Amino acid sequence: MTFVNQIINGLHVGSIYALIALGYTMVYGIVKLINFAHGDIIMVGSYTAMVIMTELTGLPLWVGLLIAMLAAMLVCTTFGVVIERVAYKPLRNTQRIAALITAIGVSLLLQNIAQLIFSPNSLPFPVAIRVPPVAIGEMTISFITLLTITVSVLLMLGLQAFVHKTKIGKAMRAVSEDRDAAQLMGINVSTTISVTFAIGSALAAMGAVLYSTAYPIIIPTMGAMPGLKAFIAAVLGGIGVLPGAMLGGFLMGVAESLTNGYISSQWGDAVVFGILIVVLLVKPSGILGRRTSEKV
Amino acid sequence: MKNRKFFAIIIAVALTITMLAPAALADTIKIGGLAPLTGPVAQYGIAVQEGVDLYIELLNARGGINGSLVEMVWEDERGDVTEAVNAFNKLVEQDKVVAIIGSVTSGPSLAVGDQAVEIGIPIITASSTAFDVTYNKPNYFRTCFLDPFQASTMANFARDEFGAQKVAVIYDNSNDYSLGLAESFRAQAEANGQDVVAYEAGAGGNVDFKAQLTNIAAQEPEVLYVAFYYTEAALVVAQAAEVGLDVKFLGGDGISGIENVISDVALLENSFFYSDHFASDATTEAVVDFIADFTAKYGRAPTIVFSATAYDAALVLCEAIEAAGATDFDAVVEAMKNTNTEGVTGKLTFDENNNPTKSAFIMTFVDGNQTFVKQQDP
Repeated sequence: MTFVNQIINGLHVGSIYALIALGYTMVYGIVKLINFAHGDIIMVGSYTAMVIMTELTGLPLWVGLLIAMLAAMLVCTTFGVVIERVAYKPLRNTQRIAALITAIGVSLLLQNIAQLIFSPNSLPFPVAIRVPPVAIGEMTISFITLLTITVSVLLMLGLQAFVHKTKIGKAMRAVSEDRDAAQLMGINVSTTISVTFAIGSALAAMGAVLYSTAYPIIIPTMGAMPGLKAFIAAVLGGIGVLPGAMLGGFLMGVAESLTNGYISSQWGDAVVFGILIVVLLVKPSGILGRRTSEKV
Repeated sequence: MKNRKFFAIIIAVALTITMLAPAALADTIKIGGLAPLTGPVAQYGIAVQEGVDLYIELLNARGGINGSLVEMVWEDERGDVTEAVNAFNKLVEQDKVVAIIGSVTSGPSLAVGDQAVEIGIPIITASSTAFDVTYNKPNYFRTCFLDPFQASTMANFARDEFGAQKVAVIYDNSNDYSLGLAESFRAQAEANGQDVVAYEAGAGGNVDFKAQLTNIAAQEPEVLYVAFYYTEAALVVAQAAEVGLDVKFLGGDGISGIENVISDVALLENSFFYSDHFASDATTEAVVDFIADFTAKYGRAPTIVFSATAYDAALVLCEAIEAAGATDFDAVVEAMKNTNTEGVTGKLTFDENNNPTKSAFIMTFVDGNQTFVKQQDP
């Protein structure tokens, strides 16, 4: 029974990794940029939600949580789009390394702004949900875990449908396949890229609220670790492939939980990063990634 | 020529008289105080100074030590090891103090340690917790307890207060403080005949401890010793509720502050107990008097526990001088070794490494505030 619980613990954190990984993978798929500021978007989302929930004390908890989620999504989306326009767009046609370094700069900028506003100390994230654990047979699963997994899976399915069923989704796939050709076909590449950043940041905001609800202490550097792990999840599943990000996220979460539970917490991160190395050696394009040969 | 001889004789006689002077006490006894009174750790230094000065003032008001008044000579070492050594030398050579209280943080205390041993001067710190400060230094004492000590006290508390038979430990295996607490708790629990059913490591800086807590919950312990600082401890408490782990939480002095970072203070209410050096809301007579005297002198209650341990450091030293009836170094050190007294931070004796074996103050939380529970005597 402990084993099943450990798997569920893993799915819990894994689904958050997956949500964040989607942002990495979408952006990479379209502009071939590893957006290192994505982890800090999580931090922005958490602080936004914290401020909103602290202000809205009179309302029922779940109403407060809902409003906080919407506010976090709004703020993160704005941040994501503005960052892309200001920091990445001017570098779109230069070497890729330039944009990568700018991304690291943006990441540091966000962390330091947060430190200035909120101080570098840990702050408590307000209690968002007060529902007793749900008993399923002999097992008890916390409500937060159930909620996180459900919300994440629904969002991922929604995103999958969005990319495949809508016109803008089609444009995203087209830009991702060949940006120049897409532009020649009359697709507004800039708008498409903005939409991609917007969606990625909104998902990160959801991830942020779910993450902070589960681990209710927030600090300005909190985005770094989940950001890094989500990035690995994206690479693991095959960067640029949406279902790959989800699979990668869940695998990472479960591997981490089982290592912590059965081997040693010292090895938790080592195992996760070790898996990445193995995957890169065996199948560099990731589990679900397609081998693409450069067309000459 | 004659004059010179005359002076030589006078000086020789004077020196002989000084040397032959009986070991009785002088009119004023000078004690050196070594503390960072300015600089980054000044708040600790000032807290120590306030505690010591309060004791000395009360002592002099009672007539001092056998009629001799005590004078404190304070030197500011600014939290710096070089400054500390200079200040120490000045106290010993220029001010000719008979004993030293200090220093405050562990670095400066270690820095003056070897020299203190060489001279043999009695020296006592109220706040340096590094093990080496007093280890192998026969004349260096301290009145604050060490990390292992507070952990074993909590194992006893779990036995006395909750009758706990099954105990669990979660700790950070990359941190000395945490490792020390965890190992000492386990050792004492085993010595008490308690069953350590889980001993789980979680790396500090992590946020996810659910895997470890799930394992611990499966063993159904009655208490969980959380050998973490308050940030990780707050996460542990929140996640324990999630995995359905229903225990009393225990911890060390690093838990203080958890009430400011936990999302739901109700989780701490009478469920988290930790050891601390001192509790200003304790109801023992010594503490009540100390708080009243402190407030009368400084117009506010002490904010840092080291004011209390400093008061006790001054008390140990002055009682030793009184017991020795002299201020020569060896006699005072000998008397300090035999200390068996009761200060404001509880009963106090010294072990073979001059570390105190003393009472710990057990705290919990009521309405989100730190609240004194009981004094756990050794």
